[in-house]
Amino acid sequence: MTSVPVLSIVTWAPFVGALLIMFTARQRPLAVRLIAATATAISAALSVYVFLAFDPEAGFQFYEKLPLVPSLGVSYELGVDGLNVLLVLLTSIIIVAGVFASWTVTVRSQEFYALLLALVTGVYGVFVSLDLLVFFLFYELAVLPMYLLIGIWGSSGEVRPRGLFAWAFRATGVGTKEYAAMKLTLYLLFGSAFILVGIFALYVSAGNASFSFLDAEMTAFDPALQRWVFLAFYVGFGILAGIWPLHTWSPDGHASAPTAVSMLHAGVLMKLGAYGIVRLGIELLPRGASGWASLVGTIACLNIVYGALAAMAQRDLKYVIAYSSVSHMGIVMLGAATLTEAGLGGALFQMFAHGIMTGLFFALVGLVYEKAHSREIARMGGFGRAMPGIATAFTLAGLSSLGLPATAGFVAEFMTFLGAWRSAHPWWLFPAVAGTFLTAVYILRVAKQIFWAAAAPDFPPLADARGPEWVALALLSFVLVFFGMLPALALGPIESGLAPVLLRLLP
Amino acid sequence: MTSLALAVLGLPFLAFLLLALAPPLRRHGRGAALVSIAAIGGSLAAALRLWLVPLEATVVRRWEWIPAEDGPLVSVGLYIDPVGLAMLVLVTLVAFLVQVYSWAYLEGETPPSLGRYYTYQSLFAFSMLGLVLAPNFVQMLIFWELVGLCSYLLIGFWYDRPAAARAAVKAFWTTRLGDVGFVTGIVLLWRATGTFDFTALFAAAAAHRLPAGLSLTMFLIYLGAVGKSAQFPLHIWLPDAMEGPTPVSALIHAATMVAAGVFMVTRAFPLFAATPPVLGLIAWVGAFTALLAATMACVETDIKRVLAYSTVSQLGYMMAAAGAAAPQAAFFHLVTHGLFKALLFLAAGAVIHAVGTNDIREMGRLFYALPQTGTVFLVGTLALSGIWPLSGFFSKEAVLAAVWNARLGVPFAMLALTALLTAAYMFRVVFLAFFGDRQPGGHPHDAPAVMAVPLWILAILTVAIGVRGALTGEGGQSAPRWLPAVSLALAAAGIGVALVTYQLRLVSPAALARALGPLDFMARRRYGLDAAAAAVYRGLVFGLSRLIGWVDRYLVDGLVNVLSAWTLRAGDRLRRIQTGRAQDYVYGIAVGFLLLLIASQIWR
Repeated sequence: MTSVPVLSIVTWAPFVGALLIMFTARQRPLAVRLIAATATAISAALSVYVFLAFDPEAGFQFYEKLPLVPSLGVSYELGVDGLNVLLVLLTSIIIVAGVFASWTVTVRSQEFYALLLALVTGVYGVFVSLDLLVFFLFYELAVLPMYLLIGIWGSSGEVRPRGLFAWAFRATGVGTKEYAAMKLTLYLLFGSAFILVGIFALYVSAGNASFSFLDAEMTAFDPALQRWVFLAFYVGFGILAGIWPLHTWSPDGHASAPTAVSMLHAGVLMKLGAYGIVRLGIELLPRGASGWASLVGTIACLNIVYGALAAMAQRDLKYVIAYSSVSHMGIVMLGAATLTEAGLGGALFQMFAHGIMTGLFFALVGLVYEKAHSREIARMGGFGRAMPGIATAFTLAGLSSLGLPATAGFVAEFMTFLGAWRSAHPWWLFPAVAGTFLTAVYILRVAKQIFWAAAAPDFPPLADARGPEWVALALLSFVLVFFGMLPALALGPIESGLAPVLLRLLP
Repeated sequence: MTSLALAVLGLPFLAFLLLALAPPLRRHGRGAALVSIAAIGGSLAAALRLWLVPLEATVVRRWEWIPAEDGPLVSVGLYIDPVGLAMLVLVTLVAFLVQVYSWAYLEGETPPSLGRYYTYQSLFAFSMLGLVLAPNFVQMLIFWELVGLCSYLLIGFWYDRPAAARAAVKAFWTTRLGDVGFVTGIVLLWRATGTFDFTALFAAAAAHRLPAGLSLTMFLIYLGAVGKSAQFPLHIWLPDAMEGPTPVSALIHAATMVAAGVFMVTRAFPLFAATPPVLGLIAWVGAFTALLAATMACVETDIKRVLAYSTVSQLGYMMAAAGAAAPQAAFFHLVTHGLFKALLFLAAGAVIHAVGTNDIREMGRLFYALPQTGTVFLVGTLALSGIWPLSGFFSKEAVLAAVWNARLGVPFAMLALTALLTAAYMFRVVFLAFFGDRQPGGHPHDAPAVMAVPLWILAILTVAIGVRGALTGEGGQSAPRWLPAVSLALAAAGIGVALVTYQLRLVSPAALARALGPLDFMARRRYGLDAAAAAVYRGLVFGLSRLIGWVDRYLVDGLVNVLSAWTLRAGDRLRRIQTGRAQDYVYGIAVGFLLLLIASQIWR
């Protein structure tokens, strides 16, 4: 054990970077970027170190504890085990890629980077916190900057008010970035109310005056309490994980957000929801989880198929990717709902895999938009000749999302399938497998339309990715294939993290 | 042994890695080609070395790939047995010849494009070899999908042609549809038996310890082969796949993609043998596919598409043999067909290269202009038609004998009719393109040596296997005595029809078409199968997605927006109470106080 607070540095380095940017780098865009890159690189390097030094036998490690409010049992308590070590790594990869992918943000880049870094501190904090109240505070820290980031640096799309509720569409301004920012924030805050209630219920029920996860883990909660608290967590975190029918913030939000924010949000924040369900829902409340598993899994199946079909119907490239996240988060939730070793392993691996692939997707969409100034799929065509690198990376991300072997997506989906057929509801397997086919349909259709065939006439000469942008693409592509070929690297820690969860699930 | 097998597998992979990760080398084009050809050449040498040493027992090596608490969930490794070794030699040989041939065939490509081509080729060879060496279903699935990916990339190699882009996507989707069954089947099998491993599964099958009720499972697994090996009704992708460069077609049709399905069925045969209903289905579908595709080949005018349909047809033969419980006959036909079909495609490529068109109606008398190409094409045609003593005669006889011995009367009749049609449509091509009286435009000439040598090698092998079969008499040990005569007679009849119609012109093709009116009409329209698939795709998948897209935007999200709009509106209304006049507020206080008083009286 080291005495250096590694996880604290990982968590707070971006925040320090944000402060530095606000106070020292005024009017110096290059300095802003260099500070951001350095701060995230420090976090990334340390989280790689944590991942490599992780000992699957040791339970929670890199443990830190600092009492904050001893009378209430609130403390600043950090640690990683097999469930979150990979997610910390994921966050690092995505934010490093995100910093490079938004290198070309020109409007108020100082504030942009500062908010982005503050947001990342919140995300790291949620993943590594072992104190439920601090966990919640970090969670709020991760949500709020999002509002400004989307509201100011976002882009508006076009949604035609139609149907029975057309008046409501006009009244709320659907499609504008302000609408998307507000919708996302309200949804997530709505969800966090459920989470807070759940956390307090556990605190009171345990009766040991401690918000510590480690103490809660020792407590066997009353099954009746478990049932309703699990439901609160499921709804609260589920909103963030994009469960149907509470998912509609995600397409609007992700489509309007600037590139790095979409990457971070779809890539990491949605995982945060799923992580919350596994960590607080399933691990702390095994009886509640098994009681609601049928519902969770069935909604997950709905997510998979519905999300894929909705993605197919979109005309805006960013919406396609956003709906694909809804579909893929269904795989995560399905794996979790199977409550089996293979399924939960698949779910956790899919969190990582989907995080990387969707990060790559949003980076690419951002690049295409920046070069072609269009997100309308039907207008584009034949971009492959001008941007072969972007086309290749897009194909790779697409292949991973349709579950092609040798990419991380395959392992995750296959394990989820195995888990599904082993669960109490074997039929879950069929929508899940059908989802992979539908994914192939819409992803390849989009790739064909944008990159293949003859060049579309009304575009200026286009260019491939350049300099810093390549860093983002190469990093994410590499990770996607690397973990696809050597899944054991990630699954080793995951297995170790799942062992206690599975033990608690035993009747 | 293990290291040699790893070399066979590893060399193309290293070539792929090198080309993928070193853009300067890839963009050099010719350099990339040399790397790729050298790798597959080394792979071929290693495969030959393995094949020539007699194998005492099946060698299996495994390494953990996906860990689990109690032993590895999935492992990867090598499974080396005689069938696998023969397949390795076939794959490396055809891939090697195709890559050499492409050197000259694709001379017009820009260097980066050529580099891309060879990158895909290396990956393709690696994927197929990994599939052949797979010791369990998961590894087979992994490489199975990679094979699908490579064919997608290579069919769409000329990606700026809309037709190529469409064909590539269609191939991927169609085979992927079969793979839905394959994946599901593998998962079901795992649940039923607890393992993916061939050794364990075959041992259980041999000891009759397989759980009952595997029919659905094996049927789902077979669906994978339906997609990959272009069985009815998922054969529709294959003719369109002709949009790829011709050497790619040779590779896909001979040794890789389509062979994968048949190989899988022969590999997993002990499991299929345990489910007789599925086996019967395989035989029936195979025979039907053979006949259906043969009729469509008769009306095609594109030389590559004729060959494509003939591939579908011959795949039907192989599957029928497998379904008739004769996997060795299926595999034998796979090997001989692989060689002569690669030969036919590469020869057709040389023709297209020379005359610049695919349409056989625009060709004629090419035998005199391209004597070498003509000769090897004729060798391939004779082999495909099943003429003694070429390789195709023996493998076809083995298939027919197996189907006859399995008492599958109707499939046997369909296959026999297919044999006749095969000879007819192949000689139709030969007479129209290589003989006849139409002078081709321009001055076509034989292909350069780099293209010609692979052709000759394949032609010699086709003859050699046949002669060896004639000398040793192997292939049809258990065939009924009348079978060789009948199969030769059928082939001769087919050739006769083609001769009378297209060479001697005693009967006009139009009259023949009229005589077979409805059949001709349907075959020209591919029996409406492509249109039906397109309609399902557009109507069902797209219709459903449009519906869901609408529901999501205007109903699910619409309700959210209604809530939000109501909130906004309520806020707007309530705001009006706030008039800013003190009198109004005093009234408000008074009314409120009154209400409280009344309330306190009611609920005291």
